[in-house]
Amino acid sequence: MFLTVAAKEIRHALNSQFALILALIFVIALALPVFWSHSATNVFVSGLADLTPFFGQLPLYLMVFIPALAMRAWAEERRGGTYELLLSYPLRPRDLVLGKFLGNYSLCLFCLCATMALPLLIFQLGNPDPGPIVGGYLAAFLLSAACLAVALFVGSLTANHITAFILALAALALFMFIQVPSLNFHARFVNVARGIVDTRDLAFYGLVTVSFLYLNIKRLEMGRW
Amino acid sequence: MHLGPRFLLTLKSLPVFVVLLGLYWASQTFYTRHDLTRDHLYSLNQGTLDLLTRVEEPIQIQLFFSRNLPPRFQPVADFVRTLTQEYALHGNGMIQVSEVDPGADEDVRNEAYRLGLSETRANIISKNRQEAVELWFGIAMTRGETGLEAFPSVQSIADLEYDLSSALLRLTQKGKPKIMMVGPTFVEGGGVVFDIQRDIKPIYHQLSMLYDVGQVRLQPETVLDLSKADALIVWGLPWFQPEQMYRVDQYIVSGKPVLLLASGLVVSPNVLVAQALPHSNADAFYAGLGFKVNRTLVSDNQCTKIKYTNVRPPVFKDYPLFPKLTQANGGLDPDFSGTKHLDTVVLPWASDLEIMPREDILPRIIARTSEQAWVQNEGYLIDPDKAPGPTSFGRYILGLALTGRFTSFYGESPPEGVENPDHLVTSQQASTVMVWGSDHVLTQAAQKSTLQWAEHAAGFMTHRSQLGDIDRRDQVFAPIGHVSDAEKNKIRRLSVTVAPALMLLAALGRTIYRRRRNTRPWRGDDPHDT
Repeated sequence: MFLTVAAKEIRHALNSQFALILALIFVIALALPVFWSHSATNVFVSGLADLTPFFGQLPLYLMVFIPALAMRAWAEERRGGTYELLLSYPLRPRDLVLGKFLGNYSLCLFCLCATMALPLLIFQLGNPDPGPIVGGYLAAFLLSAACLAVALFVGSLTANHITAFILALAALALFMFIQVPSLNFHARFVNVARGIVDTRDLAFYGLVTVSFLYLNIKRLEMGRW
Repeated sequence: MHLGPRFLLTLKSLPVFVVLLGLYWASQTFYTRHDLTRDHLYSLNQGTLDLLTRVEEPIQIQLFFSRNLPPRFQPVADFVRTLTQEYALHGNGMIQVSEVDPGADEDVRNEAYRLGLSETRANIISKNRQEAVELWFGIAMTRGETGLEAFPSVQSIADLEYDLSSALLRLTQKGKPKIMMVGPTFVEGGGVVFDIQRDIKPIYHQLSMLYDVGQVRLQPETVLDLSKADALIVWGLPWFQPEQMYRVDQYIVSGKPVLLLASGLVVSPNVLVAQALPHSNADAFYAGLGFKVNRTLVSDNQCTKIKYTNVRPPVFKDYPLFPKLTQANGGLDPDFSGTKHLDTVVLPWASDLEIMPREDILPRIIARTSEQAWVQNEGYLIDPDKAPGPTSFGRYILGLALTGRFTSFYGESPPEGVENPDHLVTSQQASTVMVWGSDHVLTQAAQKSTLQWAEHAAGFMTHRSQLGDIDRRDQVFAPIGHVSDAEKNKIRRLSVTVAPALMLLAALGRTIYRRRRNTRPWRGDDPHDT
């Protein structure tokens, strides 16, 4: 059942100019520090075929991109008056949440996969270590899942797009900059992005994703009452 | 008391959160780690890990890095930070890592100077101009108030782990490793005896700074006790008595490191005579280790000069019989720990070595002549005026490192007349025997290059035996090749057009598909529509 919801989310996004523009801005913005900027993230400045600086900045881009992607997931349903209709369908809240999550996560994955053109270009310039590239994308997939789960939950608390975006951005900023290393999204991301696959980091992202999806489900169940 | 449905819902959620917290705790406690990087960049080698378990006193690693490092230093700095954090992580809480910027604080700067660090000069390209900048890029490792190991500038990270672990070993080891120097006196022509104690004093003093050096002036009746030695330097094996050779054999089989000087000739410089060494048990001994010493006298156009006193005034002349091996001409292995830091080694009256493959023994060429070398076979002439020139050129091996599990030359039992209930047949652990094809290198003890050679050989033997194999990390940061401006612009354009173009194509495809679907008649209306 949740696949139906996911398919609907994907169709809706593909039909939406907003999602397309967002995705275009995301992939172009990620290419700028790697080849255009004047800082050390630019491979032409550092002289190294190394994407580690790129992956070091990716969490900050996801911190903005994912709230923008997820802000309409619940807010649009509420504003359009279809939220109550949705809750009345013979769909469990679990199916709704998972469907929304999967639909938006598919778009996220699509955008991240589109950035794989960058490592391919780096391979034209030198012989980078593939380990950190594999680790970086693995970390990106996991981080985006966790961030999306947080953004969806926060978005379910409000009926306004902008409020949903700001709240999600604030929540993710908290997770990115918190001084507790074990809870810091960015610190754990950097570890995996170096090419060190530590099951502690993988489990952390997985559990954060599951926790916030669970909270989202409970939020929907409360909404039925 | 009526409990609302929301409250009940919350209550029912609590066990789930308890389970999630339990899963989090379990995942953080029981975990595995995989290093996907080439060369396992961020994983410490087993030798370092073993060393870290033995650290019993607090060690402080201070990184003196400038805050605004140029771009090409930043990946190196990042690697150093990660590597030192691994030391702290595995150091049983005994190792603390901190980073400071001496440029920002005078007190920190003075502390850096006190620790033996200083600014590094680097050339950087900024806005298409090359400029020289001074920056801080050093490491200091301290133990208490007295122990200090300093790296003024991190030049290369390829051997950083070996260097840091060696420094840590020097800081933490109790007492100095013991090196024994064992061999007969040299009897030179005209009755001049090469006195080990007198003539190799410079080597003795050099090594004594870091090691406890013992000397054995081998006589036929000398009883060799090598039990307390951590490493051995041996020469003149053909003159060893059977029991003495047996002790060396058992030392090697016990898994300890040995530096073996093996020449194929007897040279008497005072009367300018060289003769081939008669074949002896030593040759069979060498064969058991995996090499052979040829009865050749090697000459090389890459050579050192000697003072030629036959003319007045004396002049310095090239003497090809003293081959000069350098890193620049590929004469020294740049990847082998015992030779990589050496610039030059001079091997007087050397014989070339030949590898004899042995199961379980891995040979490695660590020193060889240039490509403009030649040999004399029999009828050796060492007089500079008479020594023959080349008839053909070749490249000859003058140094080998043999690593593996060695088997006793004497087989299952000691030789006749020797009692040893603890006779070892085969090594339980891998060890390394370094072989150099000249025992007359000891006569050059006053030369700086010989002292460095001895120091690095000793360092390799003692640290390596305690550190195990620590891999060099080559090509850690892959530089980009030369790229023209046109190519750079092309790459830049591709970076912002390829992915967006694919997305737009997908969107266009989707739009066309939708329009086609919307203009087709609904199938339910037309009974003929299949």
